[in-house]
Amino acid sequence: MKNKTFNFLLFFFLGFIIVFFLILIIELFGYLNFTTTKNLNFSRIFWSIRLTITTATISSLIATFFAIPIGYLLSRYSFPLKNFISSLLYLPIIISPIALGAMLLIFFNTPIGTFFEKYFFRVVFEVPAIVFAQFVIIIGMCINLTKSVFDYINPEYENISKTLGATSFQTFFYITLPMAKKGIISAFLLTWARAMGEFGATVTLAGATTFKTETLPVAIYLSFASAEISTGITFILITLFIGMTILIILHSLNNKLFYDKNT
Amino acid sequence: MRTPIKQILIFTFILPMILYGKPQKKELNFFCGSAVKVPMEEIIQKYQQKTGVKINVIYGGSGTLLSQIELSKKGDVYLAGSPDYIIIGENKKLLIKNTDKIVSYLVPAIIVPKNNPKNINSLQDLGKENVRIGIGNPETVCLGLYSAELLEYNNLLEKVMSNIVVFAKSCEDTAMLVVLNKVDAIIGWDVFETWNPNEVKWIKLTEPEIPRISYIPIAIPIFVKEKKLAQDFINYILSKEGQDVFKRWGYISKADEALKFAPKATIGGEYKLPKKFYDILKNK
Amino acid sequence: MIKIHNLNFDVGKFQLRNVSLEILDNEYFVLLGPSGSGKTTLLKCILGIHKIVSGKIFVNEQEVTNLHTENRNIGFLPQNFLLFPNMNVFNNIAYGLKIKNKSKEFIISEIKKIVNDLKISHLLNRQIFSLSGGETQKVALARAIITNPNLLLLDEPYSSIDENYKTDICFEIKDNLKKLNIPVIHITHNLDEAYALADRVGIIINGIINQVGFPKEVFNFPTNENVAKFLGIKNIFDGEIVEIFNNDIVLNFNNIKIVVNKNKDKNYIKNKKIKFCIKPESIKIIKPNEPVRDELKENIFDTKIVEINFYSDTCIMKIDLFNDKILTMKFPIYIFTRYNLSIGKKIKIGLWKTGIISF
Repeated sequence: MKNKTFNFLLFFFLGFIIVFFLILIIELFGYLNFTTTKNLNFSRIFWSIRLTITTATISSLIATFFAIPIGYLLSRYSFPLKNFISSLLYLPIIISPIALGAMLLIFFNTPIGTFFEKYFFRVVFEVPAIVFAQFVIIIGMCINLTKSVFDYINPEYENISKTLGATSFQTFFYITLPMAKKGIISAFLLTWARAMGEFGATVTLAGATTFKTETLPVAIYLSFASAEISTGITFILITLFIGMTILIILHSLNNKLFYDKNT
Repeated sequence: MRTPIKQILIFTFILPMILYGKPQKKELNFFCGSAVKVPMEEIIQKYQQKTGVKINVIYGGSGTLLSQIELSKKGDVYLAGSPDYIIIGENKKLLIKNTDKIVSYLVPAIIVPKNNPKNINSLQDLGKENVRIGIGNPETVCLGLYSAELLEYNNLLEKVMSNIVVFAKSCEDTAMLVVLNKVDAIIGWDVFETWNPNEVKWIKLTEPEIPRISYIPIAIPIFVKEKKLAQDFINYILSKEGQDVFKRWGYISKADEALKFAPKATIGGEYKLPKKFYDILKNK
Repeated sequence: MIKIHNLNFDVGKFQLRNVSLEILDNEYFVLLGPSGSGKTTLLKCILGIHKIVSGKIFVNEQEVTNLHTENRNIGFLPQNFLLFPNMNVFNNIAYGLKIKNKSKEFIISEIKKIVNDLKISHLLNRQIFSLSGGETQKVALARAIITNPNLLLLDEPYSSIDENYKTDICFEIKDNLKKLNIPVIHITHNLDEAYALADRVGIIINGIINQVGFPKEVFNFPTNENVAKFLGIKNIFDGEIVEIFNNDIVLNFNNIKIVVNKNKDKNYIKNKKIKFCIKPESIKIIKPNEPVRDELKENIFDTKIVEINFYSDTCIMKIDLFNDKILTMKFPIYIFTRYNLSIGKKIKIGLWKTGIISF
């Protein structure tokens, strides 16, 4: 096969998917009805946007915080039953989000769950439920990503740090983490995007309560559930616009600021 | 080595077209509200056995089903959870006018966990202190809209809304709230008790409290392929055979039976959420 | 002073077997061996990065076998130097002291001393990716020695340095390291480097230390066939002992009789088969009508040239002994011109007796 043909094929595969996605977005405009969009409640939309961004950011920050030490452990250490245990991390990804939401609902009926809600704060059907559900859904994926980041960093640097007298903890803090900065931020961004779009587990654990737990995905669902297609599409376009803008800006910043001299 | 392009193309495109080509059997696309899923499964099975017509049933919330009909431009039969959606459907020009029939009647009820922990025995009790209430989302679930109407009619909207902790996103989800013991009471339909007799209890409302008896309507969408076939299926549901199934599952099939619960109530009609509903929500 | 007793280590199929070494303070020890022989693995065992199966390691009379790497205080210059990419030159060098919470003033003064000695003070603010190979090496060295280690390990320090620069600085660096008065272990597979720099040299092949001694001794008198092969001695043969004298033995080598110096440590039994090698540099061309030196007289043979290869200043020539054995010779290029050599030409050669070593 000629090189030109090979290059063409590569771009063809990419183009196929990109064009398909673009069609999906553009076709939405065909269903926008100006009269219905005029009647949209903008304070409600802003409320929803703020809730979605806040909860997604909090849950992905917490997830990344957990994923950094866990990803490092899985990358560097070996221990008995490692395969089995790391497969368990994929549990939330395998079962459907609604199933996971149901499992979480049941959890808060157990003694641990009820104890928590009694002595700390209520979770079920409240805003913390959104953060909680998102966290459970995204943590497996986040760990996978951070593990890859650490896999890519040469462990020899850590050995050298130890010969210079640094403990494992100091090495991780002063050598490994700084080298992993860029990759971890990328992992955070991808996790955040997933949290933004999370619906099934969130709506089961937090409910679809207007002005309380109505995130953007829930608002979209509720619009279609009341046969208000134009409103739903408006929400979709808003979500896409906000999400993509934030992602593109942060991604470019990440690339510029932490230009990797390793590569 | 020549890559077998021809063979790959045939395999990927032409073979599936041959295998999954035009079906020979008669079939109907039935968009069915999940409020009647339980009895409907039995009815569908009976009908298929009797006539050999395949029923592709899609369950969901009334509004979601209508959206699906609108976007896919498909649908032979549509069953909603309340008359409101037939009106919406006709206004959107998705349903053929005047094809709607009443399948079953629904009486509003307070549903509590079997042991009734907060001792709720009346509509007023929903406003008691320290009580957690759940209702369907009034914007999207027929049951939820109905709950709002019920509360407003009895001047309990503000009082009870301060106790509402969650809107469920569908009829069954609302019922589940009590089954899983997540709330102390919900406003639901009478049939919820037949669905889960061991987990929940039906607290009857008094006659003057009920403004409207709801019913489950069925209609034909404009995208129907064979109107006669659709009508035949609807007739079967309304026939004695079909109605017997409903009765067995605790659904009320006759208007006079339903009115026994509230003789002065109206049947059918529309209700729109009042502005103060949103105001109360915002200020919670 | 560092002592290693019977160190054993396994990883996968590779093993280090019964490695024992004693290296004195101020000694520049070169561990020499082919790629894959276990040199880097041994370094990592000494550093504590690999956990050894059995054996003991002592640094300055203190046993470090069970200490974590960070507590062993052993300096390490890794292959390809591996400066920390997230820090500049100054911070790389300062790392070992910063970790120990030394004061800023102390760090600055220590760094000043070291960079002056190594002549890299102009590099302190540079980013590490902007350094040349030689500069990187010096920075990595500074980083390793600033913590006053008890032992210094250098892992193939010149493998990525070009030849010219290497010959300029390798002695300068050795002198700097001698001032530290600690043992230095330098590992390499380069024979010239080892010969030039080592106080003593150790040959490691397949995870086993084969020979340790002064370079002259080891290079001229390899103890076995493996060492000889590694040192580039091509002419290794089997011979049968036919006569034993006070200082010499006579070997029958495919019907050719060779006189070989006796090895004081060995017992020789008549008719026993032993291996011996002939160093390529010890085969001399004898011009007809030229007087022959005594050391050559006992082993003179007629041969035919079968192959000639040229390198920048040496000539490697293969000659046929007519007993279906080929000998490899090595000599400076001017000899080639002087004797007017060509393939197929018949020449007389003599074997320098000290260049024939028996194992």
